Amino acid sequence: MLKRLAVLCGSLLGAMALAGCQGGRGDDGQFQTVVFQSSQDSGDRHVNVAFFWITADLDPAVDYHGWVTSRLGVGEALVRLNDDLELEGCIADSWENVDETTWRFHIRDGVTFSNGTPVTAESCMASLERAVSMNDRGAEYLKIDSMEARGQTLTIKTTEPNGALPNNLAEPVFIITDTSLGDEAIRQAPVCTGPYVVESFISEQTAELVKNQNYWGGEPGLDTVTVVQIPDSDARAMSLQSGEIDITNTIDNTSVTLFTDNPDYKVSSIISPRVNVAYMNHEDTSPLCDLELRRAVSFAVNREAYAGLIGGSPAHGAYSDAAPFGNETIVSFTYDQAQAERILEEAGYVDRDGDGFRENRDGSPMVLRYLQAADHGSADSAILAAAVQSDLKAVGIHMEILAVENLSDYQSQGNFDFYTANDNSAPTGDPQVWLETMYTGMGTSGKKNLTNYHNDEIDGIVEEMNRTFDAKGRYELASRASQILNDDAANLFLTNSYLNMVSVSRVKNAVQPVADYYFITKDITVE
Amino acid sequence: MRKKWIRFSFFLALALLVTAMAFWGYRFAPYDPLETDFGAKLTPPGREHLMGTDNVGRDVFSRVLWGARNSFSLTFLMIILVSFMGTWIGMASGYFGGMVDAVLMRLTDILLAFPDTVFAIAVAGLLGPGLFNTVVALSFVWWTKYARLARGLANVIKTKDYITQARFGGAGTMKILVFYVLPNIIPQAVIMATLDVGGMMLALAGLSFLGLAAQPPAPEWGAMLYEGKSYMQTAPWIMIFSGLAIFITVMVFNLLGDSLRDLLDPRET
Repeated sequence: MLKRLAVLCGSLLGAMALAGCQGGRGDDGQFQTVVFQSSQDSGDRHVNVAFFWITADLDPAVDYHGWVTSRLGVGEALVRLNDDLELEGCIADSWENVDETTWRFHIRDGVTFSNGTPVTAESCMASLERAVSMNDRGAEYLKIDSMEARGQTLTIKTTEPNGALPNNLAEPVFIITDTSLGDEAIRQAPVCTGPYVVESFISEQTAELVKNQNYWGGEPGLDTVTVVQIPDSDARAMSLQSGEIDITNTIDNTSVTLFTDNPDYKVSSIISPRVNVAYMNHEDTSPLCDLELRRAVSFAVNREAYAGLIGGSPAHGAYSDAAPFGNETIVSFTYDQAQAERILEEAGYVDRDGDGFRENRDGSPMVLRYLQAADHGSADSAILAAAVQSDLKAVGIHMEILAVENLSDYQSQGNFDFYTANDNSAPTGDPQVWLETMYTGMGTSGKKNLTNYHNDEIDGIVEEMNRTFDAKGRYELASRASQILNDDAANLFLTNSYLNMVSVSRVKNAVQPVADYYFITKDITVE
Repeated sequence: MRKKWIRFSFFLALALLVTAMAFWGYRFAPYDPLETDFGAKLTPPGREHLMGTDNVGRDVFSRVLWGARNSFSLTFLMIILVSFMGTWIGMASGYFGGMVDAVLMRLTDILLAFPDTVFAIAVAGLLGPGLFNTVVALSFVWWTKYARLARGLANVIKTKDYITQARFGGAGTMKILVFYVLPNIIPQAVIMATLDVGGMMLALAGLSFLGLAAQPPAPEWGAMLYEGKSYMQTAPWIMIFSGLAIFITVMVFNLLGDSLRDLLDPRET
């Protein structure tokens, strides 16, 4: 009797543990369990993929959820970025700038949604309208006045000149979805034009994909894909080692060596347009509102060494070196602690009480508050924080690290001196977006200028960018802006982050794209 | 009895050794525990660095030594604080009985219902992470078990004849509590406190591991474990040595507590 009871208890416990570890509440309210499918058993070409982030829903128009829809290989926009961050046709095959405020896009013939419905200018217009009305970023990126759809021709009129428009259309918020299906369907399984189709989806856990039989770009390389969310870099690395998953990306620099020297794995890595930035608070509540202090701090940090610690390359200007603009001509801060100390002495930051740390100019103690939040499931931000802290200590600046989960709470209160982020300096392959959102419109909602940076010249450059329609002209403006930000010591641009994709050797063509909202492509296949 | 004495003396000597290491060991640290050396990051244990270096090139041996000081002083401070507080509250509750007892014991019941770590996490969420906040949070729930113990003992002691005698002899309440009740509670409280050292140390290390107690770059064993986690495969020494330090300390104090209980507990013969 006792024995039977024990067996019963044991199996109950086991079942609960299973449900707790791997399962999730499906739509029907029942617990589902993720079962990794092994492709060796079935004849299917199947891979298991781990993302560091799966969104609550897959609606591209909501927040940044489109980035995941795009990484899944489900959604595509009118245009896309290649690995030189240049614009290429996708759903649209050509476009022209009719006049300052008018753009005309030709929708590629023969593109259909995964359910077989042809994609027309009409359906693109509906999808874009939805993105603009549902997402602040959508509205800001396009500045649409009106749209007109005729056959396969989509005409977009903007309220003001917007030279960034074609590039901005590559942003996944503008993924073209079949809007006739309604919001609920779009959240769970949007019908788009990409090589894969969502078969089932569990919020923040898994997505099961099957290949799109109607894909316009050729036959996708896989039959089925299981995508799971594993936020922690170490956990992703271990899942890869255990054979649970076949492909993942953004493995921390320190663990990636486990795979680079191993013939069982393939590592594809690139310098990305992402930059590790320590943002500095320009409001007068922070000691960092003083240019001299910011300059001293900028001289004090050893960017080369940081790149050695976390991978990537030392940052030169405001933009990543991976972006095709901005950095060749920049005169930027070098690592020079003597210079930093000289600036501090001259500006009146001296250690009066002999505790090894400099005080404010009025003699009050100065402790700079550095907010550090784990970014993109990586330990890099913690390493950078410790490194910056020790470099600043060497020139007598007392910095205190605060590891926080709720970064945005602190940001909105302006309750920081530094905060770090791993931000994309060219999310659409164009310099304007980053400049405009981070460095203009002080205090405006919708922008991310949380440091309250302001400089009339930068405002002027953004204004000029709107009116500049050729890439070369825009790149020159970016260069000028980058130099101004550098002269202002606006923020600490630390490293250009590197991104990687690691796959087991039987997977082919798993290549890390430079634009990190791409991941699963039609080319990925298995032997 | 003699065997028990030997066992106790042995563990006491070990515990004293570990404590001495904690309070004076940092003087022998070969490096500054906060000194980074980016060029020497993740150096394996060797002649230069006895326990290797961590991800920004800090000497792990020095950090373990300094971490001991932080962990120990905090743990002892908290144990003294909560055992003192708990014992007095419990004693008062048991001795006076009635309303005082009802109110104090319901309060302990409520606090006992909070799992300490979860409560500390909640407090850290409200007040922000940091050693001070976490210590406050842990102390706030931790005293309850001492109160429970002291109350039970005081309840029994107050009916004893010598208490009645003392009262007849003209001793005031305070005098009775201090001279006749407290001395009979202290041995039990000491056993509990010794057994608690390990638990408290683990709780603090656990919270530091979660990033809620010690803040970087302060050397703290739990925090070091967390920092080493990403390097479990590539540089295991960061985790091994800080983990070993926690393991040894907790084990020594638990065994000491056990042997002390064997020695003092009159119920076991």
